[in-house]
Amino acid sequence: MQTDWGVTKSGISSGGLSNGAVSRSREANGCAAIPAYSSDLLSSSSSSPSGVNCIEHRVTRMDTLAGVAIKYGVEVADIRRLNGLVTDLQMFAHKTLQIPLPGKHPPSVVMSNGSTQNGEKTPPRHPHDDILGSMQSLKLKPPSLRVSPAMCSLRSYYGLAQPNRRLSPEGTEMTIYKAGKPFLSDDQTLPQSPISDPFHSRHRKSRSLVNVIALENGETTEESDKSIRRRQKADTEPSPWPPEMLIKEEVTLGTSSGRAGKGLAFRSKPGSRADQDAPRENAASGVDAPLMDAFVSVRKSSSASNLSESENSSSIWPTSRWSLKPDVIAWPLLDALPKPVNGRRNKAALD
Amino acid sequence: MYGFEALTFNIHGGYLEAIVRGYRSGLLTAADYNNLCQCETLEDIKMHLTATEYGPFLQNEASPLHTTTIVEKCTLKLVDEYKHMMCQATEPLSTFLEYITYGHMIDNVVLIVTGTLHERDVQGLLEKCHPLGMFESIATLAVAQNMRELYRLVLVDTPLAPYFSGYITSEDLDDMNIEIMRNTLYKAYLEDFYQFCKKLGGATSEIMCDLLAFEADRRAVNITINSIGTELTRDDRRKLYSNFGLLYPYGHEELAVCEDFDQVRAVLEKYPPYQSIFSKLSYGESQMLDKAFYEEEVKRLCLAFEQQFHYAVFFAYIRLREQEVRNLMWISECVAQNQKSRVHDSVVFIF
Repeated sequence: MQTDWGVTKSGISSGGLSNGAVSRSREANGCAAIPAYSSDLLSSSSSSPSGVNCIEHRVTRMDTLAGVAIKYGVEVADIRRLNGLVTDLQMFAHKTLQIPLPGKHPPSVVMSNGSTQNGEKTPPRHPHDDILGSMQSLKLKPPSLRVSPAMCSLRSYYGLAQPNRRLSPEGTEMTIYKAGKPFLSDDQTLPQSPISDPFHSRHRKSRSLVNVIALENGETTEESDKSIRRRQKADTEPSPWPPEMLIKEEVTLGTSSGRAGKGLAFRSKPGSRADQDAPRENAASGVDAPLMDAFVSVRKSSSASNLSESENSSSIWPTSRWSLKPDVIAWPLLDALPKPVNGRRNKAALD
Repeated sequence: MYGFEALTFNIHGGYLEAIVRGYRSGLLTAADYNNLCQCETLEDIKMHLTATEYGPFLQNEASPLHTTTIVEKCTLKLVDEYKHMMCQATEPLSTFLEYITYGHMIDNVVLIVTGTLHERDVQGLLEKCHPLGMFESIATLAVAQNMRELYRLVLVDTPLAPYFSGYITSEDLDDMNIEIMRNTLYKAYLEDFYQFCKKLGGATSEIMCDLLAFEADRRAVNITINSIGTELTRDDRRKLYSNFGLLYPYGHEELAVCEDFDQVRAVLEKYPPYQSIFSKLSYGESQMLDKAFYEEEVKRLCLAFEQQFHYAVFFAYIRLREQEVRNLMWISECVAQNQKSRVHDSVVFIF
C-alpha cells in the first residue's frame, strides 16, 4: 500500500476551494494554490511545462481511480498525489477530485461504461481490417449528438451549421491513431466554404509548425518533406475540415509534441497509400462503396474527397499549434469530455 | 526449530496450505491477460472471466456491465476464499490471517472518517469499504468528532486499539490529522506484524520479514516522494518511517533530506535489491515507480511459494489476488473507455 503525504496539499486545496465548487474561476483560484506544490512534484516527475491546470471531477459511486485517470489521460500517481490518496478506495471520501492537466496521455472520449453502447460494439468485421476496426468504433456513436455550449460558440465562430447531423464517432483516439484510412476521411465534406480560408491558412501555418515539430522530434527532414508534398497536394482541395475536429485532435492527441511526433512517424503510411492508389478516385470509390454504406449509416455527411486523406494526417499537425493555447481551447472541450464532441477523422495510423 | 517443519506443519496447516496453493493455481496467467487485453467490450471481458475461476461470481451479472461491478465481484471472490481459510484455521495461523486484514481495516476507518468530514453519505461509504477490513462497529465511526471519541467509542474494541495508544488527542479530525493518524496506525501495524512473524520463527519468519521489510521500504519511498514540496518537515518525515527494513536506519536518514525524485533515486541505488527498480525508470520520471514497485513485489510474492510449510504463502496469495483485481480494473477501464493503448501501462503479469 502506498502511503502519501499529500494531506497538506489536500488540506490547502480544501481551503482554497469550497466543497463542490465547480465554477471555472473557483477552480482557477483553487488550482492556483495547488500548483505551488504540484508543480514542484510535477517538475521533478515529468518535464511538463508550466501551466498545470486542474479540473474538478465529481466522484460518483461507479468511478474508479483508474477510470478517472484514463478518462482524463493522466497518470494514477498524479491524481493520487494531488488529492492525497493512498488507496483507490479513499477517493470515495472526497466529493470531487482534482485532476492535473494536461495529462501525458490523450483523454478518452467515450465512456461506454455500463451503457448499452457497449453492446452495440460488436466486432463482426473487426478482425479484417483496421479500417473496419475504426469504422466499427465509429458505430459507437449515437446518431444524436449533444454539443456543449462551448462547441456551439466555436461553431458559430467558424460559421458552421448547428450540428444535428454531426456524425462522428465518439470513437476514441484509438480511431485517430489507427491507420488513417482515406475512406474515413473521405465522406467528411461539409459544405462550408467560408471556413476554408481560415482553415487553409491554418494548414499553411501548421506546415511550418510541423517542420518545427518534426525537427524537434528528430524526424528526418525527408519525412517532413514528404509531409509537405502531401499537404501541397491536399491544399489544392478545398478542405472542409471542421476546425472543431482539429481542436478535438488537440485534446485527444494531448498537448505534448510527443504525440505529434508519433503522428509524424506514421505519416508515411497514409502517404504511401496515396502513392499506391494510382487512380485514387477509382480505387477509393471501388473500395469505398461498401464501407461508405456503413459510413453513411453512421455519418450523415455526403460526398467524399479521396485526396483528403492526406489532409487528415495533415490536420494532425494543427493540433500542435492548437496545443499552444490549451487554456483557451482545452478548457471548454474538456468540460465537454463526457459528451461526444464532434467528428474526428481518422488520422494517420499509429501503432 | 527451523528446518523440521515438515514433521509438524501439516497437522494444523496442511489442509489450508494445500487449499491456498490450489487457489494460487487459479490466478490469471499472461495468456489470460492477453485475451482480456484484446477484448472490445466489457461483455467480452465478462465472457472471458466466466471461463476462469471468476465464473460463478460474474455470470449472474446483468448487462450492461460496469467496471466497478466487475471489480467488486472479483473482490468478493477473494473475500470468499479468505473466509473459507479463516474458518478452518487454528492458532497461530488464524491470528496470522487476521493480521493480513488489519491494513484494510485501517483504510476503511480512514475512509469513513474522511468521508464523514467531507459530508459524504455514510451508507455509500460503508458500501465502498473493503470487505476484508470490515468489523462490527464500523458504522459508529461516523459519529466521532475527534480522535479521543474515535478511540473510545469504536476503535478500542477493534484489533487496531494497540496501534492507537500513542496517538490519542482531543484534536478535531481534519484532513491533516486524519492523514497523520493513518500513517501512525499503519506504521504501528507493520511493526506489530513484523514482531509477530519474528516470534513465529522458522520459514514463516524468514520469508515474511523479508516481505514486510520490502513493504516498509516501499512505504518510506512513497512517503518521501509524496512529501516533496509539502510542509512536512524532515523530522516529521523521519518519524513516519518504520523501524525495520533494509533502509533502516541509514537509508531513512538519507531519505529524510531528499528534496526531489532524483535524490531519492540516488539514495536507493545504493541498495542492490532496489537498483533493479530504479533502473527501469528514466531520469526524472516517477510515474512508473508505482508499477515498478508492484512488479518487484509480485516477484517476491511468487518466490514465497517456492518453499513449503510456512504461512507466508497465505499472505502472498492474498496480495497476488489483490494485484490481479487491480489488473482487471485497469484492463476493464481501458476497454470500457476504448483506450487500449494504455492498457499495458499498469498491468503487472503475475505468471
